[in-house]
Amino acid sequence: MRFERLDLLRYGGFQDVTLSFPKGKRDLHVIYGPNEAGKSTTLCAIRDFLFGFPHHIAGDWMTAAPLLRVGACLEQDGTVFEGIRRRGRNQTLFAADDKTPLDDLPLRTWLGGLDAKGFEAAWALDHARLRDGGEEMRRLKDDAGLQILAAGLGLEGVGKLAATLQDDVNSEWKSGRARSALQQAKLKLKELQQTLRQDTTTARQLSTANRALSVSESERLACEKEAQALGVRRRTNSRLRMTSVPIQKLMETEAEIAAFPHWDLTVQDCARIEKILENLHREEEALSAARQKLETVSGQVRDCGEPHPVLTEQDAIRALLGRGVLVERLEAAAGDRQARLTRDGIWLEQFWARHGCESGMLPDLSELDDLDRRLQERALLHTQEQDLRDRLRETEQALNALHPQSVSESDGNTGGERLRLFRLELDEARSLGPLDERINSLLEAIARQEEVTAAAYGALLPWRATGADRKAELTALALPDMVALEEEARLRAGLEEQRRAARDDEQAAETERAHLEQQLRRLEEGGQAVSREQLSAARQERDRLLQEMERLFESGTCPPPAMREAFGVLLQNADGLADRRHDHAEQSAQLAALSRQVEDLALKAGDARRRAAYAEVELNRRDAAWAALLKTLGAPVLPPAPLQVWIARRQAALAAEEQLQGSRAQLQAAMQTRADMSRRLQAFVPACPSDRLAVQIRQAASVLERDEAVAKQTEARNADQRRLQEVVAKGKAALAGLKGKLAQWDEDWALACQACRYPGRPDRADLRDVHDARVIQTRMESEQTEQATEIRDIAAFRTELGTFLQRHGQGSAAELDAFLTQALAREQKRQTVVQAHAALEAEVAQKDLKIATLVAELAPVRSTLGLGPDDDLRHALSRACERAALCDRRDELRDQILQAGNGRPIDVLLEEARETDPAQLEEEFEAIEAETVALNARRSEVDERLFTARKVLDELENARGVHETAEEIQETEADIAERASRYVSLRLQQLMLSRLVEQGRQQAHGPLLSRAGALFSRLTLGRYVGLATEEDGSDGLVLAGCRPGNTALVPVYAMSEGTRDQLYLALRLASVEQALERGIRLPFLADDLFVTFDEERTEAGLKILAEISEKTQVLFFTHHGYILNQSKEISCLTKL
Amino acid sequence: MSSFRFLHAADIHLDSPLRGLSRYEGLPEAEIRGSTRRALDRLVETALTEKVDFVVLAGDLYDGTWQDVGTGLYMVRALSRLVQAGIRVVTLSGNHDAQSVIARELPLPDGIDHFSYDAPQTLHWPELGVALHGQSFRDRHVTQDMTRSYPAPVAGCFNIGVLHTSLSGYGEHETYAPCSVETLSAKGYDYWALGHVHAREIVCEHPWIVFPGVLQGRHARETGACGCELVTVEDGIVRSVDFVECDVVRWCRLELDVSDMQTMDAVLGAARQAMEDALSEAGGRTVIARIVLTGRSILHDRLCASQAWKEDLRVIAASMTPGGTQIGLEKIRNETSAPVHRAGVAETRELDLALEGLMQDKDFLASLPEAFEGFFSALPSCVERDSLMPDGQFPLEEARAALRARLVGETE
Repeated sequence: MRFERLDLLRYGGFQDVTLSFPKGKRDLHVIYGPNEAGKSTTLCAIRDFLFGFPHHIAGDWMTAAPLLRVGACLEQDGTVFEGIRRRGRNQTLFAADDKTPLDDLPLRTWLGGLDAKGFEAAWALDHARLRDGGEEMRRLKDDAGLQILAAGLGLEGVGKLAATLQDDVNSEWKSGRARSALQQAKLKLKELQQTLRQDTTTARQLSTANRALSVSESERLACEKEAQALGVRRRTNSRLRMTSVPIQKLMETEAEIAAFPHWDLTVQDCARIEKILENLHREEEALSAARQKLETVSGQVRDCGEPHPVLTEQDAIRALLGRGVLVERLEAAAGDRQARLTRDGIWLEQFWARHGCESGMLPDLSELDDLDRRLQERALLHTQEQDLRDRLRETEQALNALHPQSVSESDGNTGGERLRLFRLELDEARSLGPLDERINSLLEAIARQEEVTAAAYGALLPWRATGADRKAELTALALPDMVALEEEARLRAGLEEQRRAARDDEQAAETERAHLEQQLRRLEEGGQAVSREQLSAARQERDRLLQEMERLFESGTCPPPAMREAFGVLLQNADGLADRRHDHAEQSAQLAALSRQVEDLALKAGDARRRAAYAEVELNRRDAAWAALLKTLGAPVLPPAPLQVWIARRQAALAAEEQLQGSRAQLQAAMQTRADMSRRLQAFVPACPSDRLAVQIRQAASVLERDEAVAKQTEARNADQRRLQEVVAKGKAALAGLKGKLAQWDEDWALACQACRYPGRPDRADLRDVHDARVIQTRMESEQTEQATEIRDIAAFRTELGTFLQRHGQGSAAELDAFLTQALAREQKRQTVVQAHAALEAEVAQKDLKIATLVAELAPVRSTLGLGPDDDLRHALSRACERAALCDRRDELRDQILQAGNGRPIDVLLEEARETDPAQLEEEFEAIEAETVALNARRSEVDERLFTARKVLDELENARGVHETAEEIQETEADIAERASRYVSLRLQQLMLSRLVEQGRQQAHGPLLSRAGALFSRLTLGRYVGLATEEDGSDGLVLAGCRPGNTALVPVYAMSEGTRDQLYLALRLASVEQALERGIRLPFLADDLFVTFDEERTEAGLKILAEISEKTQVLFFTHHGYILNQSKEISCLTKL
Repeated sequence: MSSFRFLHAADIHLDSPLRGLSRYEGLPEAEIRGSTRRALDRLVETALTEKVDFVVLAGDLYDGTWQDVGTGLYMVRALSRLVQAGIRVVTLSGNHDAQSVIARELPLPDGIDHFSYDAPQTLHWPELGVALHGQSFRDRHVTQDMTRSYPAPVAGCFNIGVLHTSLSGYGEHETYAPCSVETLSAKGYDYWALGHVHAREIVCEHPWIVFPGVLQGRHARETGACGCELVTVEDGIVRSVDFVECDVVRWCRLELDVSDMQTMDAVLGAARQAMEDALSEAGGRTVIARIVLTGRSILHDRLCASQAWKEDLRVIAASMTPGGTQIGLEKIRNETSAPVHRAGVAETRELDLALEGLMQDKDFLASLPEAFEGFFSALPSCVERDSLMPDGQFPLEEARAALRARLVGETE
């Protein structure tokens, strides 16, 4: 495949630039140009044409991405492929008309399925990659295989990959390496399995534990039974030992009780009777003493006699004596009162003299208060009058101070109206908003929309408007029905898909067939396999000759010796083939199978070709019909899918046109509005030099602000003058009103004084004097009344006191008081004695009653004891008490015996005691104790065993962690499986890479190294005569350059940088030549490869490229003039 | 005829560990490790809550090789709860139980009926109007149809046949006590409570022939909801057979066709969506998933070469905890293949030819067994050779793709 032409239609900085690469004997093209001429861009264009634009590109800096176009004309074996590549995700390849979509299958086929990266690795080389390749070879200094592999395949980082793979493989597993991940996992697995075995509770362990528990429980049961028997014996022995002594005492006590008469008295009864006797004795003694006291108190009562008569009037006497104290105090205060009355009388006489009036009644205090209020009112009126006068004077002064000139009212109104209109106009102008910016943005938008609209119409190519009204033409255009269009597109897509699938199938079948044929050839070349056809052909040949020989024999002719010899050869050949087929049946069968598969694949490929051809024909037919339909309608002749795109573009163009027209209308309206507004503002402001409304508004606003300030000052002065005039008028009116109020007050005052008989003048001093006189006058009247009342009370007291003194023979009030006190003391003493006498009489009666009760209580006791009224009750009671104590003792012993007998009847216990020898009880007790100690020891031992057995069983039953360990084992096994799988993959990759390297090593001795050596020799102008490998002593090969004369080899890492570049180039070119020999012919792109080469080596390099260009196209990009000069004769030059 | 309800479960495999899960990042370890026990607890709780009349366990209560008696004791305690609540329990030994030392040596408590090993046995409960017929496996391998000797149905009763069987052969399950739907139907029973097949299936409804499936999935082949069947019988007729989910950890296989995906991000996004779907379907359970990528994809080489995307998937899985539920990844398998045409992917013809040549290089292929001999001999027995070498072949294609991607620098 080669480039005939490269069309840089719209790409990077190129517009409609065509680079032609005419074919000659040598297909070497040097594309030259200075820096920034676009060499790298051209290289990118080649790549983008072949493989499509990448998603992120740098070539759209001048042309919008959707408009990028790069075209080319390719040729291979006489077949021409011409197209244009666009940017996009789908369908990016179009025919030369830039409209008809093209299938890129032919291109992909020519490229052998390579993608951009693969193409660049194998068929393109630039200086940077040359340098990196040389550096890589230096790093791989110990491995010639890797060097050649990396260089030959155009790969990078092979050495690092080999080392990484080695590390990865070893980290997973390596024989004898204990720290590898797999080994660690195995160790963990082993430990877990051991843990599982140890922790697993087996059924045997469980049954053993159960058995141990069962035995221990049985022993424990036996111990319990024995302990129960021992307990019975212990309780019997204990009971007998506890009852033997009380039973003996019981018998003795019962004998003592039998010696007494049968008195049915208890100890409690005896104690109660004893207590009664003691109480009786005590009561009799107390009665005797009380009677003696009663006789003594009766004599004292008689001595006291009757109460004194004065005691009957004691309350009246005490009240009179109390009044006497008060009378004495009144008599003492009478002098002071008389002096005060005299002084007040003199003051009043002087008062009347001061006011020149005769004495008489003065106004009441309330009337005087009313007069005082009136005086206050008059003072307030005077104060207000004075204040008003002052303010009026100040206001008149301020009014006189104001300038008499001011704007007349009519002038102010006229200016205000103008300003109002001015303001309204200005507000309206402002309400229009940023009209200038809007106009500007509309202008810009219209410019943009015109571009967009132009582009939208441009995108409608091949359709063009013929008249001025392109919108109407476009709107009136007839188009196919959308349903039909979609159906057509779907049908075409289906057909194209069929065609593509068929071609894919065909290519896959052909590839597979080539592969199988290669195997077939290998098998046949091996010479071991014999196909059925071969054998059949040999046998037919043999049989044919035999038939001829038979015919000769039948005709009586002996076949000639040559024929017989030939028959022998054929016979031997057929037998040999049969034997070989038999001996190598497997290979033969494989051969046959391969042949069948090849045939099948040929059929499959043929079938795919037919399907592709059918699809192709059908597509062509539909193309023709579709084109005819579109021509009929007058629509642009495009395939359905592009037509759908075109229709969308048509809509977009119409929309853009509509939008453009709308914007233009908006602009016109905005400009008209601005002009109107300017005209209206000019009525108020001088003409503005700018036509921008914003400037005019700013100027008008400034003027308006100034006018408004002046108008505001004038208005304020006028308002002040008006306000002051109003204040003066109001002040004068108020002053007149106050004067009227004062005159009225004078009239009211005279009437009030007359009504209340006020003798003074209308001032506060006279009023206070009258007030004081009125107070004194009132007080004198009151004190005179009180003085008369007191004189009457003193006279009445003296009369009543004389009556009592005379009745009781006393001389004064004090004597009467002492007499009454003595009489009261005597009466109090008499009452005390009378009360004591009554109390003693009650006590004697009570004791008599109590003694009678006690005597009655003792009567039944006497009867019980069989005593008469005079018998000694105390002695008999003492005997009865003794018997009762013995009975209680007997009952206690019985209770003690019953308690020890643990519920047994007393008879049984007595009988049991009679039958037991008390002397043996202790011996038996000691024996029981000894047996108990032994049993307890045994029981402790059994308990311990039982506890242990239960614990073991509990641990077995509740053992934890076993199934968790099993889970961990599964996890570890899964981990091992994962690691093993990973190891297998990594190890296989490592082995494959090693094998590739090994092949590289083998190639080092083969044609690649030989050809690369020759190229290297030419590139280094004979400083090196070739390439060689040598053992490096560690199972590796070192690639080295051979110096002339069989001198020492120069390893790669010892070469200079430039020489390494030349070595890498030699290997790469040798690899390209190998590919050419295999029939792969693609253009080789070289971008300034010789930067580090001197002129001679550059010339050598160019010659090599020229030789290669005899087999395939070489496109060499450079900006170096000397390279251009050197390549003039061997290449075609193309200037950028 | 009376009415009653019962639970039918089988294949509990108590304490059988979950297999294939190597990592637990962020997963509830205790829940996963005790999942079979928790599932058994849920079975018991269901029986108690639903107040069923009896529970039928149709075999394989334990794993055959499991020896820890603690497992049996847990089973005994769980079933004893049912007995104490007055719920009858009927068990039958399956092929695993026949091998299990626990099942042989650990006696079941009173109140639990266990079908005889020697001959088919009938448990007749007249008060419920039920007759259960069954026979336990004495040996692990039972190759004859056991139902032939099962007794005739008891007249007037609802007859239940209990059997551990592979029926007429079920996929990966070994053949045990083979029989057919026809022979079971011909027996005249009303309900066949089967066990052994781990996938739930109602084989037939006239009569009812039911595999309840395993109680708790334990590996990547036991996917989906697992549990038991709640059977309601009214007047001698099965009114409903309702599946009750008992599993606490749910396994699933998420197969993603990545044919149309162009980037690794798209693969990760699709996997995330699939995991979210799986979590939402699991009803709050912990999910363990196996992700399998399939299809012809341009990402094939990169998927083969890099492990990073697997780690990314695990990180995504670990970060997904909607509502407290979590998802873990048991395995991530790449079963993709290279596209017919490698358009859009890096490719070098020379390299491909060299690699293709290796695939046909007899010397190279012949050297592989020796190269791996030491490794295989060092592997523990738990790693099956088939898992590393499917069909006895080294996974050369995967290795070739991985190496190729690494060589052309497409692993990132």
